[in-house]
Amino acid sequence: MNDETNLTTIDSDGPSGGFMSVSTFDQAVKVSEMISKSQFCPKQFYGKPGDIMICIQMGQEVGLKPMQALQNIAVINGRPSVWGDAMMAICRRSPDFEYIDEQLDSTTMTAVCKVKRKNEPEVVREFSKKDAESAGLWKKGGAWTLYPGRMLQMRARGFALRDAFTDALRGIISREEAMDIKPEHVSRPSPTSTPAIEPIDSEQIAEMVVLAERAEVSLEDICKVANVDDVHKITSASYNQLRSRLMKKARDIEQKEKLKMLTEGSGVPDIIVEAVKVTDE
Amino acid sequence: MKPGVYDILITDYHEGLGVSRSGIMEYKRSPLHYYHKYVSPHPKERREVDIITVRNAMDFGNAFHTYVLEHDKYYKEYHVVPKMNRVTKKGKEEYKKALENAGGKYLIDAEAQKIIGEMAAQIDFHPEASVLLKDALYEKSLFWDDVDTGLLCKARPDVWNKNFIVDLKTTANAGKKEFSRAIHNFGYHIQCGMIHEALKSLNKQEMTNFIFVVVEKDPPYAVVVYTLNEEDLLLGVEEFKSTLYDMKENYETGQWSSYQSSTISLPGYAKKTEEDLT
Repeated sequence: MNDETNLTTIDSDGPSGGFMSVSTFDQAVKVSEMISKSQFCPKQFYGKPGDIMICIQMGQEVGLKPMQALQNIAVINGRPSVWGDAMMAICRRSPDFEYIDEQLDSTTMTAVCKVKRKNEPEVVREFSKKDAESAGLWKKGGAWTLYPGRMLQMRARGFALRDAFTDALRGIISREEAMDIKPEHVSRPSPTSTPAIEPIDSEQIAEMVVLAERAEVSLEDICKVANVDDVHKITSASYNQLRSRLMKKARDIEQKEKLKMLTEGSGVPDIIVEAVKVTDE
Repeated sequence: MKPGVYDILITDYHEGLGVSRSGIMEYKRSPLHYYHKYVSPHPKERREVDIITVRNAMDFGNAFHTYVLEHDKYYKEYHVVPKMNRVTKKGKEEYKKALENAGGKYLIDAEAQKIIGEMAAQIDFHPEASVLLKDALYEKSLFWDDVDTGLLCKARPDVWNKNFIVDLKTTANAGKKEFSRAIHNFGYHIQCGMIHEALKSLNKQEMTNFIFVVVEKDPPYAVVVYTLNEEDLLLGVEEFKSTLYDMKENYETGQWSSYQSSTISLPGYAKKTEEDLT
């Protein structure tokens, strides 16, 4: 494993703060494994060091401390998301943040969110009962029935913050919005479809790094096979093939390890019930 | 047969009472088929093979097992004979002479013997397989009463090591996909589940490591080692136990049902999917 694989540094000087300083892949794996076994680990991450690592990395990109990231970021219906309040906290931390003003008109059931960024015009976004009805949300049940005002407010806030602070949020949406997204139907591409040439995303890179370690293959070798000079340039098309090859190799190594463990100290079992030698009688 | 660990010949094991893996598979076909083969008091068909060749899959497999696992017994049980054409007068005389020389041992064709030797050599060359087959108990027959149904059951692990169980298999294609299909078709996972239950009952042992050493019967006599995953082992235990529960009911009621009448349709693979139509 390449010990020098660069990760965005999480150190005491950065926004993550705290005692953890993680600068290499190996350190990040160890920290993630430690958290995954801890009693303080949020339930959805328990026993999933890979998810923890990606979550912390994603949180670091938007300025959340490791534990804040684990408590606030979740992948809902295929989209990374945070609760609306955490979304506001991320934007407030931006040096360009000036103010946010939220109002709800209970007669028309319209939520308004005004967000101001320094040296830029105010961004105003509205979300009304009518919008919710046309989006099929109003009678959706759940939070939309219990807290309709709050849900309208979160929608208006989400739109305003995302439009004003796209750079700070880096594609993260509010969890309230993510929960309303229909899960995407994942279909297998037909043989005639054009191969995907776009580079793989950070989640896929992290998975490949973990798999490479399990398969005892260096990232340099993976890049050579994929014919690229950097792991970030691996395309989606070659990713699937590489992934299945790495998984196969990792499984083979794990089986060999298991067999090695079994055969060490193997031997004739102690039989409690004595064997009856019928043939000799 | 009383519950216990027996050191008996494979033929005696087959003739002994008890629900075996083959019995479970026959029951899965239908209870009536199981009844006909294992319960009804008609005379049992005893297969007699004159000379074992590679085409007699079961006898060839038994000979191979003895050669690899209990080599010192092999030449006490098997007598190798040259290829002979028993249609001719000369061939008939050769066969008669071979029977006399064999002194009650099984006759095995020289060509089959050569293949067995080459297959065994490939196991010796295989770094994992060769280690897995060493220092263990071989071909012990296990008879036990199932704790829930009281039915007598039997199993015969090829290799019983204190850390794992090995099942030695001969096959035409040892590829992963093909052997996985064989596990399902022949209920090898059920066999593992049964051995798991047997060791728990007889030896107070909780065995979860089941390994298949698979050897192909054609050149280059490829050898591969597969470990059964724990989930499928538990599935095997579950299938075995649920079949025993059903079987117990049949024994109690004396009713052994056949195939069930129903509507029938073409298999899934014969039907066009929406994707095919677009």
